Amino acid sequence: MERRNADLLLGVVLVLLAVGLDVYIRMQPWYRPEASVIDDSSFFPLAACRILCLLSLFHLFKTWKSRPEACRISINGRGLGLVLLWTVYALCLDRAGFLLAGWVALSLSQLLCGERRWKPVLSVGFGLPLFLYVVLGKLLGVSFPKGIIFF
Amino acid sequence: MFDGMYEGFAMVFTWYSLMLVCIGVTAGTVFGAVPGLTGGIAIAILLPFTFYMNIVEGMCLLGGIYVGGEFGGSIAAVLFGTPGSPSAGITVLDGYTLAQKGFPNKALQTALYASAAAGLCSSFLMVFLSAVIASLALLFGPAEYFSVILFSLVLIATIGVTVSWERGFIAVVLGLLFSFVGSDPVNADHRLTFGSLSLTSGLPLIPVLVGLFVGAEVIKQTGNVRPAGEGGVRFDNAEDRLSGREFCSLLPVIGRGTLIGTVIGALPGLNSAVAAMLNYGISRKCSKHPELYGTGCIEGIAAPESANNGTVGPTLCPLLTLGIPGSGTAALFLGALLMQGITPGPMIFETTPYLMYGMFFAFALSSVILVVVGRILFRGARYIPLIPVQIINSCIILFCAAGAYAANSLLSDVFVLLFFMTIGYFMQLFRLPIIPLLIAYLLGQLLETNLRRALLVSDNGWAVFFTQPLSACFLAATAVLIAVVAYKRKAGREHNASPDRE
Repeated sequence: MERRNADLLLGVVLVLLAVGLDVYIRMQPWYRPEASVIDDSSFFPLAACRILCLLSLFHLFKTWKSRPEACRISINGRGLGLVLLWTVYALCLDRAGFLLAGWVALSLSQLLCGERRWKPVLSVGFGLPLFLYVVLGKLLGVSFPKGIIFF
Repeated sequence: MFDGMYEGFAMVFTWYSLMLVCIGVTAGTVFGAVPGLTGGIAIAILLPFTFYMNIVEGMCLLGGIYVGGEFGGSIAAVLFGTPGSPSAGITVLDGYTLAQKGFPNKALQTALYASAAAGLCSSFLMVFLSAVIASLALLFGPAEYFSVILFSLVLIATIGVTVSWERGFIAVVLGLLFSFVGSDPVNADHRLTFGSLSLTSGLPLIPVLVGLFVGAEVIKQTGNVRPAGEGGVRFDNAEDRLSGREFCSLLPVIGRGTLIGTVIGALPGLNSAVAAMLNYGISRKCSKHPELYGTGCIEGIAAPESANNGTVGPTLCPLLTLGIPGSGTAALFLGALLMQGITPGPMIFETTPYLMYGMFFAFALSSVILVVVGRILFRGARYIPLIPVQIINSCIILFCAAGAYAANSLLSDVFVLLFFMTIGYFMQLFRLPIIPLLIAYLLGQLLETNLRRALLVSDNGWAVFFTQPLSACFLAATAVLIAVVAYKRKAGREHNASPDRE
């Protein structure tokens, strides 16, 4: 995507976000326009939404008037895949447990990051969750989900 | 004052604290040396684990990382010509050139001693200066607090960012919006929670900090593969060492770096890279042989390194005295303090003086230990920047996830972490600065509470912000800052449009 188009997209997203939040806040029971600033819980969020809207419109206008830049931006698909993988890890954490979920997720994560040598993948993949489990779980007393491995 | 000093000193100089400082300095140096990773990322990763230590011990660990991280950037700069951190960018000019001439050890020793000396001096300077600043901060009421927070946010959004000012302000407003999630501080209304019960107490601090700080770098670097192996620089020159006479000749440069670092570090929004660049420029101007700068002279290494490590203690000065973090790293320290139930501000000198002095002693101790750890790490330093980043990044995510979970034992915190990692990545992609968002997120509640408290005290009269002298001063300074930024923008536009330029 061209840098200028990306900036335009950013501006549009931010304007939509600000307007959407503004509408959402007005529909909430804590929106009390008749109250003073001291009692009005919605004063600051609404003010922030309006400032965001103004700034985003200014950003849009400025980008619209600017010349296109030569550089392009690209989204790192692998990076987002990594986030997805760790989201699945978080979803499975309770059932599978910290160790099992950590072993699988860390090994897959290294493969996704581009590591192809199986020795480091397996040694780090198995070693680090175990190390964290011992240090945090056993020494510092953090209660990690045990899942299907009962120790 | 001296009781607090003694207590802080005694708490830092225990075997356990010494061990934590050693671990911190080593971790910080290694993280600082790996291009793409920084000492800040190491602080973010280890931040949740300080919850299980007492506050001074936690500060010893984080302080060690911070000091090590500021120096670590110079290792990659000297050996590979790639700065490990932005503040080491200017060290490349002389450090890498000197290493290429066959003196890598001398270049690293210069960077190490200059960093340690400046860090030590600025830490001791801050022990005394902080008490003075905090006594002034005791004059602050809600109106003054509101004004100074507003000033800091504007400063961070304008001066503190390299991109256009409106992006800085957008980041600040987004940070404020995130800070409003949860219970309202006066009426306890559940705001912006979207029906989620886990958000009623607000967004969890640690996952937000860690996610924003670490996420962008990790996601950006995913897919970059760097094979492990040996670096090209050899340490086999017998004359490759810094002599005592050479070090003495560097003392004026280091002294200047300490002062510049102290002043720049204490100002919100300015970072160590600015201090490093400034001291390099001034030292070059003051030098009898300015033509040698850039050709591998040791003064050209000592100048930036002393200035960037000189910022270490003073960076925390606005945080500890006013409760306002002036940089991303200070924001992480604020997170560590809040996690332990300590709210920084002028009263910290009254309530927990040992912590205040303990922190600066920890920085001073870290600077001393840096000399020992740095010398040990030198031989292996050539391997550090070649650690396979694809393995490190995966490990970092597991560390962050475990840390986010460990803080509250809540699974939802891991989801918040991943969400903010993604936000951080997209912010960097779309050139929105992360640090202003982070600081605004931390200060948002304070800003709102103080405004409402000031209005309550003054019976809903807005004039209180202009009639209180200190508050009026900060509001005027904010207005001047905005005017200067607007003027510079206009001047820049006219300069770009001038026919000479075309």
